[in-house]
Amino acid sequence: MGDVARDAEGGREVGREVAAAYGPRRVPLLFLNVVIIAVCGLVYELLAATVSSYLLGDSVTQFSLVIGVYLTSMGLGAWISRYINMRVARGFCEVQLLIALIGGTSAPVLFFVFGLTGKVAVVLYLEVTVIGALVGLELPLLMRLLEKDLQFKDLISRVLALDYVGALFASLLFPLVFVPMLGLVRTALLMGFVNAVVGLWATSLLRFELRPSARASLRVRGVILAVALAVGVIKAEALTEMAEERVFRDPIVYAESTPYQRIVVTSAHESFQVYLNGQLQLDASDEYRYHEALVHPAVAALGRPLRRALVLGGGDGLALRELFRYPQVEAVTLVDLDPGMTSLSRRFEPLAALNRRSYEDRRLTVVNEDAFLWVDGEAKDGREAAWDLVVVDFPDPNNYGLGKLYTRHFYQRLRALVAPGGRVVVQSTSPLAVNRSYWTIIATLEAAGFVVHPMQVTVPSFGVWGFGLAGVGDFAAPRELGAPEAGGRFVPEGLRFVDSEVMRGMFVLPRDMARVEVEVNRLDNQILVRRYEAEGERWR
Amino acid sequence: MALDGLSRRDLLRIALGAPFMGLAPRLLSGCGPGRGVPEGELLDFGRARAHAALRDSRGMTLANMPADIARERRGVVVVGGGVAGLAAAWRLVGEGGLGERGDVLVCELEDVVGGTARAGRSELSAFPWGAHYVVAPFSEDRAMVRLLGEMGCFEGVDRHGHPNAAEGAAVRELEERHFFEGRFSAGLYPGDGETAEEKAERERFGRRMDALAGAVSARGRAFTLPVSQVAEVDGVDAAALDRMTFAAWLEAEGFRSWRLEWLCDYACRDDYGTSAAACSAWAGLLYFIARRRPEVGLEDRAVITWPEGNGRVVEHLARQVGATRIETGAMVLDVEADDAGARVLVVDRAGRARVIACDSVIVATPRHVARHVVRAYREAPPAWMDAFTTAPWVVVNLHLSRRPETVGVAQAWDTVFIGSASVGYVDAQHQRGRDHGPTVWTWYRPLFEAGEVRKQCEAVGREGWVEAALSELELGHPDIRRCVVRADVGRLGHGMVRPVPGLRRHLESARVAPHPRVRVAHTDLSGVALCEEAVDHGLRAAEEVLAARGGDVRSWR
Repeated sequence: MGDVARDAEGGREVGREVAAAYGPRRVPLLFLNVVIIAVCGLVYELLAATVSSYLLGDSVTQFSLVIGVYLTSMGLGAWISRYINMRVARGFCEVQLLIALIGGTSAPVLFFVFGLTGKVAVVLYLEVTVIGALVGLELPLLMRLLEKDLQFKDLISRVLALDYVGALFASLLFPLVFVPMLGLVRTALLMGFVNAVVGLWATSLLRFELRPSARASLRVRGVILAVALAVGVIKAEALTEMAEERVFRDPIVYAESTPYQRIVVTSAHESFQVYLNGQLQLDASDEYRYHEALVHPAVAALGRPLRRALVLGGGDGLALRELFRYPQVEAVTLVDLDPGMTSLSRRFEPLAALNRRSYEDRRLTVVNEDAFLWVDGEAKDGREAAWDLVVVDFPDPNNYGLGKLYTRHFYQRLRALVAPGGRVVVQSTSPLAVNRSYWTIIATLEAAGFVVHPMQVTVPSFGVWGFGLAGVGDFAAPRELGAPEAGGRFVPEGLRFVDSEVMRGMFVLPRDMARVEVEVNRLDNQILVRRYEAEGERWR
Repeated sequence: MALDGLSRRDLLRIALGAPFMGLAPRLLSGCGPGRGVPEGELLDFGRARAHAALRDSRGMTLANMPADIARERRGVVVVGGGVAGLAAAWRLVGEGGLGERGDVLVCELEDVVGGTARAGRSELSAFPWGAHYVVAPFSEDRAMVRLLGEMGCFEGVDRHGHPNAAEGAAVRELEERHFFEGRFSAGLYPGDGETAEEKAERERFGRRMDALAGAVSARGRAFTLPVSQVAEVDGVDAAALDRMTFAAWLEAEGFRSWRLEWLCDYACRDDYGTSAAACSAWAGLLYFIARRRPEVGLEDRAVITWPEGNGRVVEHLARQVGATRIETGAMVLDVEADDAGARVLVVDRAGRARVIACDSVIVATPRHVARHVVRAYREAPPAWMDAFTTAPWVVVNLHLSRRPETVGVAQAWDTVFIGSASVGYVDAQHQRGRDHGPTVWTWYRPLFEAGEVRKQCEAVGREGWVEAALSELELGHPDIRRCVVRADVGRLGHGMVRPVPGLRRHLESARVAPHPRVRVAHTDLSGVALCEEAVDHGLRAAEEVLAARGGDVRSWR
């Protein structure tokens, strides 16, 4: 105890010297530190909450939990501060550098861990606890450093006022500037950098309270950390996803380059969006319109019971969700090229929740292969025409690799796999925006020997969208919803968009989407890719 | 559950940024070895055995064989199991057997048939070692229509009666792309930055070719395939075109755009293994015109291809002929004939010599082999013999674990690099429709340069040629070295006959049988190396043999 008293006494003595040396400037500068520290602290909290809601889903729970854990940890830090009795200045600087290191790398580490393991909760809450505790430790230490210069009531009012002002800055900067302009990773790195600079600055402001050796050590580490984080901020800009953040309107929450494509998930308006190679595949807020229209009319048109279904493409699992609404479905095979996509749909919480964990359904078989080769192989093996329903849900034909999945050759092979009375429904681009492309797909299906009923539906994030409902041999467009079964029809529950009347409307195409005479798309001409490219031009 | 190595690595790169990448364990790296030349083998097509035969078997002829040598009786012996020899056997077998006088036997020096159309196969993919496409024939090329028809390559005919290539047989779009100024673009013509003048010249060239494609007389066309159907047409002086080089013709016609010049030079190297400056104008024009027809809209005909290239044609012919009629590893040292019959001296795979007595022999080898094998040629080399020269080729087969990165147009069957001495590469899996994952790229380099190129071809070893291929491909695919898991090199010392100026006038004499019982067949007898020509000569020689036996022979040609 005697030591402490002496230390405190000594500190006050030094403080007076310092005050004399700095004059009135030292105190305002330390208060500026308070504001900056407050901004950084709150940004880390918001970062953690955002990342957790992106990666773990359920934003209300995640935000609430992160804030709770963070505040509790701050309390823990404040409580711990009482045990730091000696070298308060050094402690303050050390805490600054630690926050810079852990906070600055928080978002990168979370994405790293998520990429590595697919699980992030443990690391996330560990980080939130440590950062919260360090931030909680920071203010008491700073106040103790300032207590030499100010009266207690002044000190407490100013420090707390400035802390809350900093919080306001942070809460405005984070959504309006940091996330849209920098993205999560660079925001974290930038905050870390700022913390490191504050730490370095503090070694200068508090130089009389620090031993020369401690000061040197702190400065060396501070400089290394600041430089590393600054390089991180700058270099990150050169990365592809940063360019993408400018392309995509909304903040990127997940990005991955698989050997097959680039998958990007963005988040906005209480919803999220999935892009493949820059092309919007779904928006969680209105995808139900698309997927209900894709699956249920085709089921209703079946000329046989629905037992076995084949999904080509559709790795998001949302067509599966609609199929699994029918208890009579016995087996579904999904063929999607990219294990990165199917794996994301299974373990990326928001998407897994959206597809109602269809990937966990025991009736499902997933095949990660190019559907073109898979269908070719099945047809060559002389497999029985065994599929009652085939859902063809590929991205738009914007390159030759996708274009081959819209050719007569492919549809001919596919036709051989469809059971008598079975139906095929094909995602066919927009009959309004790319009218000729849409009709090329329909004409190609017909050239392959299918009877086709054109369909259209409105999906706000896509616009007017089109499908082709195809079957071998003549069949009528469905009038009543539901899967045919002995003694009637089974109509699934929980549909938000389709009913029998709406469905009947889908088979009516307004005049501005009327049929045009077009050439058939073949492997050796791939006119669809060029046509789609040319027609799509004016919509970009 | 977890992502695979590559995507993890990508995620790290994205999430952490470059400065942190050092932390990522090397294990996460997605591709194979990044340094050094990947392993593989060196194939010297027929060279070792053929040259050894020349050296060791000197003096070993039918005339000095011991009396007790093994003897055998056949109807017809075909020397050489390339496309010409197999087509000849296909024709003979197709006649319903040769009766009691004996069957057909094809003797092939190598362990596999196919010659310069042979294919290879690995776990990843089948791939070509040489010729890798045929152009969909017009109806007049009845031999090719029959052959490709048997192979299921057509669906119906167009309104002019020309067969339509089936959707799965015709090369899948994108057919060709070129690398120019840092990116890949569609087609072969480097059109980026083309000036108005150059454009006008390109269009004039197109019109000139169209006009020549329309050059028809009552007897036939000035340029067509097979060239045996070429007829004299007023206004097309074939002899004069044969005397000048293609480069000189372009110059005389006022074509000076470097882009057009490049395209023409590329065409000569790609099809003939010579530069435009060494290729005859007649052959150069044949490349552009034989596949055009005014009545079918002057569009180029569809190209038909397979993952293993023309190895598929070889496989089909060999199956039709039947394995029992083909002997591989069989080296023919001597062929002679008299009024009583023909005799062939063969050394089999085990080194045993035997004499096959037969009615007729079809020598389906190139001239430089025939001159050593056929006694009549050996004893009195014909004057035309030295007019035939060959271009060496080097083929590098790169086995890839995945597709390297590209800038610009992705996924094409054939890729060429503007300004390169090579003729680029073809992607074996393109025609199967596989756009991702493992494949084999076959890179071709004709040694068209003047001088001792054959020695050069041999002096540069496997590693040297692999390095040559990789350093070129690296321009457009920076990460290719990390994708190559194996690199095999084939050296074809005599890859192709060179259609040099003046060769064409010797062709007629070269086609004349050295003896009524010894017929000759090979694509080099057309002065150009093309599948269509090999088939045409095979059928011609076979039908000459059939005609000599008497009876009514309905030609397949």
